[in-house]
Amino acid sequence: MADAVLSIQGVQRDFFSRGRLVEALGGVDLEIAEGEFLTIVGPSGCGKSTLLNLVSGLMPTTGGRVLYRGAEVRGVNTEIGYVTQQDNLFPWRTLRENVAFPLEVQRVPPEERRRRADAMIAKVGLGNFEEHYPYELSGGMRQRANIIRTLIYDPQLILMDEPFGPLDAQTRVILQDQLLRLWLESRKTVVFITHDLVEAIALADRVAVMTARPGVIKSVNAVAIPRPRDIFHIHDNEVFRRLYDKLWEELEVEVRRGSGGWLEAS
Amino acid sequence: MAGSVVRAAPGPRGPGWARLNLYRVLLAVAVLAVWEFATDRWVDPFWFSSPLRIGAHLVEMVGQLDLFRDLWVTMTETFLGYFAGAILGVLAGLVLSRLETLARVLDPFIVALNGIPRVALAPLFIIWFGIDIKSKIVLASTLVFFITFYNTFAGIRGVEPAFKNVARVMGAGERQIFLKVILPAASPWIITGLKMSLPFALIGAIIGEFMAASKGLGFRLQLYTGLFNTTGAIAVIFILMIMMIAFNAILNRIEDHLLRWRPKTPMGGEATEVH
Repeated sequence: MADAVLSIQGVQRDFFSRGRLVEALGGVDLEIAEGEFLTIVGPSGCGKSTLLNLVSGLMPTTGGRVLYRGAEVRGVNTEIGYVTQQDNLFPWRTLRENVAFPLEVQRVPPEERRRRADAMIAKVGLGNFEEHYPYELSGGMRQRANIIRTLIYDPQLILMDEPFGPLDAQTRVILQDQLLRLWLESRKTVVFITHDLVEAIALADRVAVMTARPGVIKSVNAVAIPRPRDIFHIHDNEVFRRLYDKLWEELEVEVRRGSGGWLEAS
Repeated sequence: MAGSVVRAAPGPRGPGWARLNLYRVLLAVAVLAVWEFATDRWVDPFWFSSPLRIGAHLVEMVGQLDLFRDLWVTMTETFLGYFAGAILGVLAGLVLSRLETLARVLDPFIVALNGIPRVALAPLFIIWFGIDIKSKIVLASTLVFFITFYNTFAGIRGVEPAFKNVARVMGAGERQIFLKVILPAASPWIITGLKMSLPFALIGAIIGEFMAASKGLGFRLQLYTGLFNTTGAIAVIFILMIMMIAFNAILNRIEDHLLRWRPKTPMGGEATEVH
């Protein structure tokens, strides 16, 4: 792909755990185009999070390479935003101070910081909570704060690692809807990891399915559902249902394999 | 859809604060009343004195200038020792937490130094620094130093790596990470160290005055016990107790402000360390 923002080429990653070599990623190949929303689904423990750590540059690869706009990623790449599963909000900062943190790091003047942070906070319905500390916010609110804290400094590529994983089902759908709205405004390139197939299809332009460990890409599937999408009724969509059935068949094998076979009996 | 929002628990002056203090006063009064009642009936006041006698002695002492001189001397020793020890302890903690190898090399030496009983060192400090307040300040600061040092060191080592990574991904440099992430994340530990070590500053000053001094509350305490004046001795102990309560109240207030981002404890921020 000529206009790939991110090109993952034969990426491998091994770990040593209690003296044993564990192969987390067994040669991942993936290209992500400018402005694309790509989701990656896979059974738990397939190395999805590891892949994002490698792309962000927080962790070195043990084989293969990651190219960001043609240049190999070595060390932390600050053009890449990373929304982690744990919200990791700084508990000593108020909501506003947390959201404004990246701007503070870039030495944006205080008034502008405040203006931009408050605008972002209002956009996700957290107005009036600017002065609250993280412990005073619910899980859903914290996760929204976590996402806008990355959106605010406008990174060119955004990695998201199961950002809605710890949330309850209703809150999840609402936040998915909110995320899609925000994304439609900016059309940033997003790589989004999840183990939830519904979420993977509902959000994505393309869904990549990963195998059980050592993880490799099993298939990449375009989602031909027009945007803007109605997340709340996506189940009724015929395209959605067919893709869901197809991907679940692929995924089921991997989930069983990844479980070490104890599901086979059922 | 606001979700469940947890609001801050009432602060130290929230509802229940007045009642709590009432109970405290009642407890103190009850203990003193039992003591007073027991005196002359079952207990000889020569050994244990009595609250009324101690009260009278305190009033008498307040009328004398010597008491304020002694109070002033002890407080000067305590505070100078505290600040010297705390500043050096926090600085050493900050520096060593960044220098892995040096920290490992120094570890057994620090353990050994901290293990020396200060009572054993007090006479040496008096030989080295004289019987004036200098030796007491040094003694107090050695007690404060290790507590603040260990807390700072452990606090910085314990900072969640995820916090540092978040900042790093957002483009923060090492300096910014240190100032904006590591220091605030470690601050509860550092503040706990600062709080825990204050009583030890007072203990250091008093021990020093016990060894050799010509003024100070410890000197006065020593003097009274030498004369078998239990009333005077216990009166001085009361003054020390009141000083400690006052110091702690000030520190609690500062802590509540600095750590306002933390969920309040069931004690409502009034929790005090037990030594």
